[in-house]
Amino acid sequence: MNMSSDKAIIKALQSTESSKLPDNFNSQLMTRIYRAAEQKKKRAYILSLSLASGVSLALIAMTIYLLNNYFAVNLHIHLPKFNVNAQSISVYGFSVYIALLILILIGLDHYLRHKWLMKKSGNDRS
Amino acid sequence: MNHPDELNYIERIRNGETNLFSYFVTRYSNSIYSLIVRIVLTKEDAEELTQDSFLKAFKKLDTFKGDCSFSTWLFRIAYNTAISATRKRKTVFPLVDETMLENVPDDAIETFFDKDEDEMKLQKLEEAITKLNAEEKTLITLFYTEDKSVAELAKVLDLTNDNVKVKLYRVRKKLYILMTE
Repeated sequence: MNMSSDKAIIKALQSTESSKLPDNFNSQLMTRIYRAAEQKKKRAYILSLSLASGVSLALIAMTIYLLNNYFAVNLHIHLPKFNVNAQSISVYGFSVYIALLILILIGLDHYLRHKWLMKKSGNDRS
Repeated sequence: MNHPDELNYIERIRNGETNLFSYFVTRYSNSIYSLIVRIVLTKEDAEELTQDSFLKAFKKLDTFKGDCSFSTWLFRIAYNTAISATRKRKTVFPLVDETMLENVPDDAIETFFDKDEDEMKLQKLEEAITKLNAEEKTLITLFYTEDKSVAELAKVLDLTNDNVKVKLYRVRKKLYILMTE
């Protein structure tokens, strides 16, 4: 039985193959693929974040349990008393100023990094 | 067998180089579409299902073990996607009596399908192919136009090698009967 020489079947199959995909098919499909890749990345990020949070919480809970039940450690923390006077207000004000400045710089750094990464991934695709 | 470049591309796609998937889309989209359009019959549905097949392949790329060629794996996904879509529709395919199949002599089949000059015969053959069921269409499409081996066909259709051989043999007889009816 030599099936590979069935010329008539091969020709009939080839002649019905006339309909081809539209020209923009591949680009449309790749757009869906990129979207799926982004979703995959997001899912992986959320999963790893949840895992890290879960493990951290479990470790903290375990540490507290161990310290409370097996070690003679007093977990009660006494906060220092604050005496607010005219001199200390200027020090607090300066501290708040520095903290806000750091927050703004971190935010700016995040924004610029994000913008740069978006630009880079756009160039990679093209 | 897997092309070494393809395995390299798959590894790189897994590591985040998504743009390399366009190599597989360009290389196999028309073959996948040709198979699906034979099963589902409408071009619009076939286009949509071709996209779905590639998307499934991309999402499941981590599960590709490399024990068969990437194209065989992709054809398996495409076949299952098309079959799931056609299950919703109840299509009736003509059944051919077992005794009729057994009565067709092998020599007659060999000589009948070996000649491809008769236009009328080719037209009848094209019509007969449309009357085959999805599995039979997949078998002949992949065997005759994609040059897939019996072992590869067995992987695509989840059959044994012997089963594929028997089915291929019977499809030729069925086509002969459908044409001479």
